[in-house]
Amino acid sequence: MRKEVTMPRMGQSMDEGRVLRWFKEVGAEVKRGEAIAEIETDKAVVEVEAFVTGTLVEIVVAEGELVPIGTVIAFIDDGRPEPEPTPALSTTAPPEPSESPAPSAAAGQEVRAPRGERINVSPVARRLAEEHGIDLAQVKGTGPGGRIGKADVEAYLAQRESVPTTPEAEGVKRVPLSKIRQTTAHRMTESKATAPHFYVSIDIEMSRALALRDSLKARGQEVSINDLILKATTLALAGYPNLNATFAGDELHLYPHINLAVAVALDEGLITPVIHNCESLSLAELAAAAKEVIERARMGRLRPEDLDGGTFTVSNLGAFGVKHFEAILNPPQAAILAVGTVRRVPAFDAHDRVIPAQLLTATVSADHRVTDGAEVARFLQKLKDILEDGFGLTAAP
Amino acid sequence: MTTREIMYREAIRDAQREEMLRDPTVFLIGEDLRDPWGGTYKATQNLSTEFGNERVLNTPICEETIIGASLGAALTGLRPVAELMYFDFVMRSMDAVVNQVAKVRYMSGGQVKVPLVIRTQGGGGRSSAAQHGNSLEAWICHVPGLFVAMPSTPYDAKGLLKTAIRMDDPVFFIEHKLLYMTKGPVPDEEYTIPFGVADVKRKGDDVTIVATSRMVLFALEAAAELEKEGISAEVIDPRTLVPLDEATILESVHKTNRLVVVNEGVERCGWAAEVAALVQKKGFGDLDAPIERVCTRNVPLPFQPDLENYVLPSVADIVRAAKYTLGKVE
Amino acid sequence: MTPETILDAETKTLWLDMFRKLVRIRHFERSAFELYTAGKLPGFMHISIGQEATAVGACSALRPDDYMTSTHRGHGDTIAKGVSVEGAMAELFGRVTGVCRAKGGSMHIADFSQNVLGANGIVAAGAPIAVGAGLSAKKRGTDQVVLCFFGDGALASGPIHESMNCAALWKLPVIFLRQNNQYAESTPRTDYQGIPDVVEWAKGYGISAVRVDGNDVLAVYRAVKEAAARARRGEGPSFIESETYRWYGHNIGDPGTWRPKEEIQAWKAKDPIPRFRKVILENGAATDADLDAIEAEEEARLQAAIEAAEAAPKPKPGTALEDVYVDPDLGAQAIQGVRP
Repeated sequence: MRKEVTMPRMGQSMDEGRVLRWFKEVGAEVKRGEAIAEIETDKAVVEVEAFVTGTLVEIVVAEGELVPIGTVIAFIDDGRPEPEPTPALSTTAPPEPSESPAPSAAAGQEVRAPRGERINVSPVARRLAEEHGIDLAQVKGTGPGGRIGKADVEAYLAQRESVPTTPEAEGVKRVPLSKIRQTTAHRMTESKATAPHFYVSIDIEMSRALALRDSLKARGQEVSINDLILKATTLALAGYPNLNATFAGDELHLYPHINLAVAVALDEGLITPVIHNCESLSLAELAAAAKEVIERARMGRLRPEDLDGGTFTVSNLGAFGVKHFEAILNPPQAAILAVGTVRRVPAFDAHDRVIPAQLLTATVSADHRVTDGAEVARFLQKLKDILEDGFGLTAAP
Repeated sequence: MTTREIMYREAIRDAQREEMLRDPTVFLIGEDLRDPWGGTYKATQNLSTEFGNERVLNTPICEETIIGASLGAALTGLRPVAELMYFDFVMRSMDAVVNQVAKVRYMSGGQVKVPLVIRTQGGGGRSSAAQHGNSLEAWICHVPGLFVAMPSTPYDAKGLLKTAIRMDDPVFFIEHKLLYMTKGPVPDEEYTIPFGVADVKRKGDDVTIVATSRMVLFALEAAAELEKEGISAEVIDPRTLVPLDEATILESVHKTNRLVVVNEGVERCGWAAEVAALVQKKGFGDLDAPIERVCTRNVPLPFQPDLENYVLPSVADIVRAAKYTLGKVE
Repeated sequence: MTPETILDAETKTLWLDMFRKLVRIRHFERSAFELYTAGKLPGFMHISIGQEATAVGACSALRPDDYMTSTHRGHGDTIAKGVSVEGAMAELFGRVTGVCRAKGGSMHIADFSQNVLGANGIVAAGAPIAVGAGLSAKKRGTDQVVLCFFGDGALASGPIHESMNCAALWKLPVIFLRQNNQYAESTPRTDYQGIPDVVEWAKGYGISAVRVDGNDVLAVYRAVKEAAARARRGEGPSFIESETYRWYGHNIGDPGTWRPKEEIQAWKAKDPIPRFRKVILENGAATDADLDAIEAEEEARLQAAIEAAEAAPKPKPGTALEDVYVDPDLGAQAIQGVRP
């Protein structure tokens, strides 16, 4: 039976850990209590021990990757047969959450949070949260089915208390959250809490892409750098269906169309309108569609379908001179691309002479349940090739 | 206080003997109680020799009349201790137990006392099959008007039975066929144990295990297993199911936030459900995990030992349930 | 007997007392019937009008310290043994002054001060209790006896057989008195009884058994008196088959008209009360005027009892939680989860 090895929680304040080294290779025999990997926490380097005896059958998180606690980092097969479907009368044996949806875990523990969202929380955890004025949406559940338990609330409390408290300064202004901000707060919290994020960055030389933009402009065609990035992303995604996908429990949903969501900053918050079927649009059509949808967003005239069905998100903070940033996944999507500004930097040519270069840093955040570092790296390589080459951006779809 | 190790059945026997010496109105009534047989599980051994056949009255095989006649005697100045050989046979006396013994005080508007103890033994684990291994305590607890005791150790058995015999209300006293030969320390000095007071058989911090009768021994074994994995289990024996010491259970769950209820009756509509209902109602804010029940599966008790072990609760079942409440199931 | 027969004072008193009880029960049940049909009494009710001679004859043969168990049709039996009409009527009304504090009602009238161990809603359930009371009397070395009333239908039920076997085995002072009112609810004896003569059947248990005319109060009295004397001498149990008839249906609501009209008329003609009145007059034990006075007294007493019952307070709902257990602390813990 395959047993999960997860990123352990080695301290109250630990949220994530980095796998530094695997001591065992796939196929190796491991003994219960034997160290199988070394991880780095915010405070120390510690060993991860196997908790069952068996064979290491899969390494999920590669060396160097940083993942949230609870993320599955490997699988050990304990050599026992997979359990048969639970017979109807086996009500005495408690169900094992890893194999079947646990009725006990699901039973009656969900309570309605004030926002109208169902939060899976144990009664004592809820009571503690109420006593300490904690918003349960901020607490990550580590129990069966993601249930928030007493320990989770205590951990949250410990963490909160370790942070210097905001001075109760006079004149604090209390601003109610806008609807958009409420949604963002909730969705981003859920995303960070449930999807194991990892991040891969690449530098792209944009000289040819900028030249392309200028020549199109000379011909009366308004195309932004962002439009070029959208087009390049569409082309690159075609070869990497896992990044145009959703994690759905025991399976992945790979989408037939590429519907790019574009992050648009408004005064009242962030919104991500969607351009549908990008794979069937030419660069000009894509640019026009982007312009239209962004306009509608700014005017507050988005239609319901403008917010539906996004399969991949592009977030561009280049306009603010930002060099590089990491985005949070836009659920239920498996990946998001964050791009900074195009910056002029000295570079070396093939003869080691210093030349000017136009660099853009692109960072993909991805769901580790869906994909892994190497695949994202290959996707970024592809994106880089397309943009640096320039060729193909104007080709008919 | 000096103590000696005696068997559970000796504790039962000694309690009856001491109370017969103390009070001439106490007498025993049931099937096959007399020496040299001395009771099918030897819980009345030597008593007919000491007190005579009048005070240790062998009856025909007529459970309803054993209980109905005990009631008649209890209503007219005596303190009968009736033995029903098997819990399974209690069904033959159910009208007397449920409609007569339990209700006569109430139906008469409180005119009478009913100083009557009904002893029986239940439980599986000995290939007794479906008609000699029932654990029907839930049925009895369901009847208003009875008190229900279900001790797990010789000490508790003796102290509770002595109390029961002195009480003016009817007591249903449930023993277990596989506890009779178990041993434990019992003081030489006289003592009694009050009803409605649970005993914490083992202290712990991580999970509360409430268990009855032989399941207390299983729960203690399970607690020892759990300790090896760093889990500290508290084991509570309520000792009397009616009245139930709710406070001790709720205090424990307040501390551990987790509860496993172990009872040998079948799970459906069983006693464990009653405890679960109690704790979810009065201790809801203390729970950190759903309450687990470990009970006999919802089938008749089979004869063959492997089949029987499969349906009865086991130490491993209790360990697994406790770990499940802690989110630590392998 | 002739009118010139000189009765001793004790017999005279006994007869007049029996007459008074016959009348008392008849008045009580007629009134209960009327009050019930007028919608003043809750629950349901079994009336024994026509059977009074069996109840009165049997109970008059007992000492006050003797025990008695009865059945669901127990108004007559329990009043005959000494339950007051005031307490019984208030019980039917469901008032706090009821003999069972309104907890029992028509089927569960019990008065332990009169050694009435209870009417009983379960057919045949009184027999084991009677055996236990007999066992107790024997163990305590008293010469009390136990009168166990049961209906003809109960004969088919297990506890009667268990109890008769145990009583015979242990030679207990128990009188098993079968009030044969001809129908087990609606079933005639030919439909539930294999042996034609239950007297022979009872003898099969090793029990002395007789049949009496259950509408002849003196015949019933004599049979029970003799059985009680035998019991007090340590000679064990007796069985009495008392042949009688209930005029009405099984319970109020059943008119009983499924029985042949002629049969009902024939039994009404054997009404035990005018029959006994005639015997009293023939033996010069009293005059018509004396007996009329008794009837009037009983009627007045009952009327007062009804008025008192109707005026008495109903129990407070919370008292439903009382009288379950003797021990107040353990009882509260059992009923409400916590001790007071």
